Amino acid sequence: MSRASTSTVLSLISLVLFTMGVVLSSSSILRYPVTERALTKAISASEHLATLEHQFSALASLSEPFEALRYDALEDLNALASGEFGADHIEDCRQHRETCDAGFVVNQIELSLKAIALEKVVPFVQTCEALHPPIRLMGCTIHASTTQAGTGHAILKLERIERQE
Amino acid sequence: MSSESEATTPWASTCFGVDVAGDDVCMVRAERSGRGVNWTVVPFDRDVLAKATKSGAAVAYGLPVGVGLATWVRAPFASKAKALRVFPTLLDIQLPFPLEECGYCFSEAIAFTRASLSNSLPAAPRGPVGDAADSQTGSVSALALVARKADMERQLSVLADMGIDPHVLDYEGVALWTQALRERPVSTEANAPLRVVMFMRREGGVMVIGRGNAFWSAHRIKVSDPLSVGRFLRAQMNPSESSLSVEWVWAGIGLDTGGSGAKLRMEVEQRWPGDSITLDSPESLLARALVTRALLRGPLRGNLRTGTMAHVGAQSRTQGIRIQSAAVLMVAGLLLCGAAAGWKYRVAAQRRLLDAQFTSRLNTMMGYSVKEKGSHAFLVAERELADRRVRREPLARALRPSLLADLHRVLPEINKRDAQVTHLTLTAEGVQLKGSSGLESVGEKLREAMISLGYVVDATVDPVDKDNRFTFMLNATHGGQHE
Repeated sequence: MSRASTSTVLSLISLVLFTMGVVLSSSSILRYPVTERALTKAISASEHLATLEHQFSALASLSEPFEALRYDALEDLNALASGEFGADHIEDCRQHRETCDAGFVVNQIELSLKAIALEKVVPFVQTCEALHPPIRLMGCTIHASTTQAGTGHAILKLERIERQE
Repeated sequence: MSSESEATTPWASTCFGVDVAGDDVCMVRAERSGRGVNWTVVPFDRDVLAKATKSGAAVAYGLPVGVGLATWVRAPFASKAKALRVFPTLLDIQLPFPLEECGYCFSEAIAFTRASLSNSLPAAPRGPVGDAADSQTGSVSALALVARKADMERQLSVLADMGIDPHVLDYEGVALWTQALRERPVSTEANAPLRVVMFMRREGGVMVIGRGNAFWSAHRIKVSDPLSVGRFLRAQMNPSESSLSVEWVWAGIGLDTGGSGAKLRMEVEQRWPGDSITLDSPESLLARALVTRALLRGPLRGNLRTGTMAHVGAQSRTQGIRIQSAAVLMVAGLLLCGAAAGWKYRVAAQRRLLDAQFTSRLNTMMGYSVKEKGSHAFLVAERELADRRVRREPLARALRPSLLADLHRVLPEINKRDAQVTHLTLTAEGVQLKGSSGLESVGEKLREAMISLGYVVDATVDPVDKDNRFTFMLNATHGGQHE
């Protein structure tokens, strides 16, 4: 191939390449706002995900304090109440276990006590809450007797987190 | 007329300009330096010239007036591209011999718009400016350099015998004109005087006529025939002009007192008085004009040695420059393509990475592989979060402060006062109390006490009952402060 033909062919190739380069570069520049928007969207999605991760992690950490507790020898509330108030004074003791999460169940207890010395209620709840795992007071209703001072009827709503069998 | 032509040897940085007149040879060696040239007159030596040519220097020669000619061609089009296509035909019409027998080239095309025509120099018989008809549409002019191929071959043969093989065959008339303009810029006003460049040799000389920057014509003159100068000058006059104002620019040899040129100068300047200038280094004007035109871009450049008569070395160097330029363009193209492709790849990779990280984090967070993407994935995650929140509520509840603390706070307040509480309900929301007292103020005091504990209290105290006691009822809520 002569030098003239070489230069012509090379010039043509160069021109094509240069035109391609200009077109591609222009296209990249023109697409820059779209690209930037897409990347910004991806970054903000990542940030949103980080917030969700934090919330999921906070929820997951809720079970940590309960993991360390022993669940092999749980106190029987009925027996405990009998010991405190006397079996005759236990009108009813209903227990309802509901699955929560992470291998735990919540044992919801409703203890109805009749004709009891009301002053014993607080120490009894204190004893329950000091157990491991604790039986926590979730609510109570106390009716004082109008005939016998210091006595009355109490309904204690208690909860204990237990391991799922 | 601000457009310029490319240098005739853009590939060379060194050029030798050769002015041959009989046995007299004036040679100038010049090097390109920035926007100018550094030149020196060197003695003619064919070996030195051959050696320099081999090492890449160019050689320029100016075809004598008479062997070649320069003429303006003017196309009555506003479009330069259109005009360039018809210039050869227009030139063919002007020539007394077929164009096929000639070597020719055109200088840069100069467009005259209607506006510029009104401000331009007056039209000359062979000048670049259009006439009245052109002023309706504008016109495009170019200076054509022409020489018969046979004459050029003869000239090249003579030069070859002297050991000169020029890369450039320029035209001496135009070369003298442009160099005189370069060294002594001219007034471009409409009433500017005619400029006549006189380049004298031993027996004769060259007379170049123009006005402003515009070259008009070049003529051979004899030292012994001063009347011919007058004839050429009168030929340039418009019929309306009664006299001519002339600026004489002198160069060449024999201009010293007693020289042949000096005698002619005295005679013509007496007949056609006007400003008279002698250029510096007058004897080398043509040689340095040739090197300047070869090395620097500027007005009215041209090389008649083209086509079949082109110098092999010059052609090769020109091709080399073309290849070099093409290579630079190719590299630029490759860089642009590479940069664009690289950018595209990088953006795509970044997006892929972000997507992969997002999916991985989402799956880890959820504990299973989520099929949904984008905002749908967020919906799934938020639903799952709400669901888990409900399922873990007992755990969260178990970690909140116990209601026992509330009981501990409320009971002492009741015991402090003379009140009989018949009913107490304690929930996470607050406390409800119902009771009675012998004192009406107890209900109010209990309310204040509960408020001081942080409750929002709604209290009612009823009038005395049959046992002469005031019954009260308090509904104390945490008011949003208790979790």
